[in-house]
Amino acid sequence: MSDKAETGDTTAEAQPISQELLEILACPIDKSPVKLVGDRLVCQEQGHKYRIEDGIPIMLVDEVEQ
Amino acid sequence: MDDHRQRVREQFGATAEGYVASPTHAAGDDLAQLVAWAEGGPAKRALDVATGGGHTALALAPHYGRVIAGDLTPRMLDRARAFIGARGGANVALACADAEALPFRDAAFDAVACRIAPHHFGDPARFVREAARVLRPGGIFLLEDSVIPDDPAAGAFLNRAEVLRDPTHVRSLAAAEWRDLAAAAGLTVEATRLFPKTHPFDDWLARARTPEPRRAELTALFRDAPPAARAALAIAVAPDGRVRSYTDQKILLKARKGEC
Repeated sequence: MSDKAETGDTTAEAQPISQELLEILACPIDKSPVKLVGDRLVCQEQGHKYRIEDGIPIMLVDEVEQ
Repeated sequence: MDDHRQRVREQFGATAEGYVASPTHAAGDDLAQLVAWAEGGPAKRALDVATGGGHTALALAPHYGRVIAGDLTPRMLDRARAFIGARGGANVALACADAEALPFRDAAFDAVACRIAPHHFGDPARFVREAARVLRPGGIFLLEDSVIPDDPAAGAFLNRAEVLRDPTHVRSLAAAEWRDLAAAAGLTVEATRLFPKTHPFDDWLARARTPEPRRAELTALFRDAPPAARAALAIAVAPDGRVRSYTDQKILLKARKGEC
């Protein structure tokens, strides 16, 4: 995962979560869509970042990275 | 992370396997009823909130195109993934999610299910509002949870016992409170059923890994229960003073989000 973060590789092959899940996930704070940037999910409204651990997006308000 | 959520994660991180293996959480007429209400379809998507061991997500999986299983505890999700994966639930995806702040877009789901979990939620009204938000118009909300008896003394007794057994228990609601919460969130209740569930006392304690001083306290609490609680919960005490079992009820509720 860490080398993907450095290269910003978001090709389908390297994507750590499915496209379908990505399309329905939202930021738990402002409910805006999220985009995969490197190995983080980034909220499109305010830039809240969420990590993905072992293929599981950690979408918790308490664990948001600014 | 606030103290309550931290405690929930510690509790379910430590007891994850017990909940995967638990017959209370696995099979039964209650789960069959929930699935019968599910109105699935190959193009439909369901969310299982606070999936725990993953039983409900797995039961819904054959009926939907896609099921998302969410839980607050990553370790619980690891166990759920292994459980579901070993049984062919290939269309189940996982997300670490708080029931009261769901990380999904508005109207993303045809169905939202939540089974035997809301008694751990700090604000169940907020959870129901979130469930309604992520449902599409016409989508269905499927709930199962322990309810307290209508008798206030018996209800207070059961919540007190549940908190002693497992400090992450917040409060079980009465059946009427669930109907009110659904209505307040814009959901129309279409069906409810009550299922009695008998809890063998030792298994009930073992699953939560209740430590010894509190086991003794709980045994005394049940043995000396006030008559209203003893009757409403069918508390069975052996002649030697051991508590054999008690019986509470679970509500199953089906509600629909308005079309407009």
